[in-house]
Amino acid sequence: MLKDIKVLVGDDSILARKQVKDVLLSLEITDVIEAVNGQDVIDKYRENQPDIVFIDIVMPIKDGATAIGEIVKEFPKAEIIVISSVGTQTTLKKAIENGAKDFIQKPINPDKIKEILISRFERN
Amino acid sequence: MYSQFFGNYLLSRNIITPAQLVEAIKNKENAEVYPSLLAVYSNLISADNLEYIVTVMEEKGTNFKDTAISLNYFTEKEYDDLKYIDIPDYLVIGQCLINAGILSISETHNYVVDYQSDDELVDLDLSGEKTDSFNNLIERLFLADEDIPEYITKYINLLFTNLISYIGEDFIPLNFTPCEEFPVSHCAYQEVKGSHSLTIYLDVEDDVAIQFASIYVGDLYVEVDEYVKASLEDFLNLNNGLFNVNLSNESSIEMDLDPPMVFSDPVISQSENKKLYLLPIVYPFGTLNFLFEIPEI
Repeated sequence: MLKDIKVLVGDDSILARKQVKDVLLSLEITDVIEAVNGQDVIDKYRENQPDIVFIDIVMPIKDGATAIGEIVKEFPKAEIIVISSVGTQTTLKKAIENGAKDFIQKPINPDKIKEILISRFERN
Repeated sequence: MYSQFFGNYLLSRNIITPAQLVEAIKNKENAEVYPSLLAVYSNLISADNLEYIVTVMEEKGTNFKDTAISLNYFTEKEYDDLKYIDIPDYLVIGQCLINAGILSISETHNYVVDYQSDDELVDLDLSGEKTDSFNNLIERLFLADEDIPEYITKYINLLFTNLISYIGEDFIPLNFTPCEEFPVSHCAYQEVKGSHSLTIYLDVEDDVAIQFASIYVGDLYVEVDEYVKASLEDFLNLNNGLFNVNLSNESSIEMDLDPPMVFSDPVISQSENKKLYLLPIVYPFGTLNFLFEIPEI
């Protein structure tokens, strides 16, 4: 069931995390873990092994693309979705090469998040 | 027509002062455009006609409507139809300047006509040729006296577009001016790195921060909390991310972006080999101060 999934939201912006959490709450998803930088995302992934991760690219300490690479190396089946304002070809290429499964351009479009979650966790 | 730039048009010709413009913007919400200004704006009468009508009004002690109808300038129905005209924002600014005794109706009308004929842009479709026209407009109105890299024009173009999309179109940018030091209140900044580098700061007072966040996020905030502060960083990150995307898509230029941060020093100072510029954007709820630090050419 979609509402039972565990989601990790990694973004240094408290506002962006809240916007994603609000979308998740609208789908009754309450098991949400927050991370505030790339290293925090890696640590919390190891600790919680969520069903899906929404991650920003531009973050302090360790950027999102590097964090994706480290998580996927350790957990090859990790479902990681990038949410970023920097949708340049280089950024996307690096994120996808490192193992990201999809990309959402900021500003956050709630429908796009819902679509990704429903396609992965409800239609199957 | 970009209504945002009428105020800047008046400023650039030294017709009004920045303080007069800021006051006009503050009064804009409660201002009602006079039927006489509307009649001139909608070409029902000319500015010369209006001068004559005003002379007769003063002589006879009659009002505008009755005087103009008695002089056969328009019918009662044509006068009543003025109520249904779409009033552009710049006309409201003009009315506020009239109310403050800074401009007369005919002066306002003449400046509006000049402003309209100067620029052929009629809407915010920034695709294709209009993007170039818009960039030219920005260069002419804002950057004429400064030796500014072309990418800054594109940056300002994008900034205005995003302000219109996420905060509202009722802003007026003041002049883009060099600035060696700027004392800050609530300030976020972000560094764009690469061949087209710049550091952009956004500084606002407490009450402006609260209003800005409330509009940008779509929630009601009543104090400067962490969400309000984050909204400043978030807006910069959004604009700078899209700036990088545009450079990548249009010119195959790849730039890096540092995370947005809170600027905690009391003053922004110009760094060595760089130039600092201030671009205040005035909304009815207050002023957003954008500062650009760019490499010296």
